[in-house]
Amino acid sequence: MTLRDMIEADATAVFLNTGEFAESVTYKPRIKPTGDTRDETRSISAVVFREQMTTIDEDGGETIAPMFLVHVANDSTDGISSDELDLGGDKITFPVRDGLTASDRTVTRLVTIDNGMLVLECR
Amino acid sequence: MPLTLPIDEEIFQEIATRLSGVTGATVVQYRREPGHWTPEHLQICVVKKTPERAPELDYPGNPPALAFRMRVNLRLHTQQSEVDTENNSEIISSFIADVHQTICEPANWWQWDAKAVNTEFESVELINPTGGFDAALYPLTITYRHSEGDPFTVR
Repeated sequence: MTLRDMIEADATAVFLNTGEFAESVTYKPRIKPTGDTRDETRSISAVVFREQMTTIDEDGGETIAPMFLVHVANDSTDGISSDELDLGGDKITFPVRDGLTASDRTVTRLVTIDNGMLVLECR
Repeated sequence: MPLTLPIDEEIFQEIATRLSGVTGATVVQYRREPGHWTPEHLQICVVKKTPERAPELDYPGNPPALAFRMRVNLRLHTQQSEVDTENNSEIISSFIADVHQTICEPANWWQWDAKAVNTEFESVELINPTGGFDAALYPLTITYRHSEGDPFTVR
């Protein structure tokens, strides 16, 4: 096993282990044209960094909204694969604070990407 | 007859209610509460700004009527799928036009159910996207009057 293989395996087994740092969230791909078999909501593991209040650039900076950084595996089963991600409407469902009811958050940006993981900005 | 809420808030609520008639759109009244809203395709975020005095439009009398101008920002959001080949400019232009048409639909639309004196559309500003979603800012300026000592009574 190469170092690269080990790092990729650790992304799921260690960093995204719900018994350690991660939590269970729901990935909701945007409804795409009929026949696209990727349109399936599924439960995945993620590490969510919450409540970083920032302005919305697209709104001229006047609107304040929380921003979330969501770390997921770059994988079409245990996470979200980079080729299925749609930055035009995919959502991830999780509580905005611990203890609150989960709600949909729109994925607005792909912050970083490698073979093992994706870091997504949600609003 | 006095209104239930202060006039500026009554008008603001009336704007949000009327905008809910835009086909396919969702309306959000902006609050600072974390997690209150998330960007969506065809979303109208309604933001009330501080009303400013317009003394040149005051009415004399006892009590006099005080005039105000209130700006309400309509933030129109669109979020196009990466696999969608539709012209993005067409989507945002149609959305802006739908919003305009819906606001102007009722007779005496500028009065917001007899609560305002006038309503003006300001220039649309297309906001350059940095990722995630596109936005257009469409401000309205609403002029209204109330009695000097009673912000609940329209004059």
